[in-house]
Amino acid sequence: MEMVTKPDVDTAVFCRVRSTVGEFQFDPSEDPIVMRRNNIFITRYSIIRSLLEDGKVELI
Amino acid sequence: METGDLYSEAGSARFAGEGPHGGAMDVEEPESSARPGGREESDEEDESAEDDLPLLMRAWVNERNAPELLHYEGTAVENLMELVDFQTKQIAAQPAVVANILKMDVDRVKYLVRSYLRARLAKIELHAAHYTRDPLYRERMSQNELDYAKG
Repeated sequence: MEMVTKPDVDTAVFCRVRSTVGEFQFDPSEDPIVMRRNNIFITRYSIIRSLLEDGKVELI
Repeated sequence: METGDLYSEAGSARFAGEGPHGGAMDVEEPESSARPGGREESDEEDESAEDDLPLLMRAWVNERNAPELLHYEGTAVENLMELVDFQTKQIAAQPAVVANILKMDVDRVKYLVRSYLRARLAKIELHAAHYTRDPLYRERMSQNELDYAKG
């Protein structure tokens, strides 16, 4: 039983695309969605975490 | 907060900073204003230095919206604080009207840095144990933050 609290990485965030990503798999069970510059998405943080690290999206 | 607003705010900050000294808050390296250097050269310098403000603004908004602790923009924080010090010294030599405007600009940057660091501290406080035992997160913290998390 873990007693250390962790941040909830599945929380919803808004993000704006900074540089076009192209097709991106948001949900394994759904078709990929095309992410173009300046598009805004609301999604789980954990899904776009790597894009945020690469600076391809920014949170808003 | 909306990033669009933030950027336009940065724009106006830059405008307000264009006093007779040219040493605008925006991010001109102290050295570059002392040097007579050609226009092109100083343009180049501006570009690399100018990145710190928008960079930290973005990092700030990201940090405030992300549930976990993000990568620490230490260089940008240090550069901007250095500029704040530099500009604060410059202000004394300005006429009152200009000094007021410049001070407002400096205060804006101070607020940004403070709010950024506070947002990070709040997260560290919330999940201190989690962040201190994971090497990935330890790398993301500054030495001060690490001390705080352990303390």
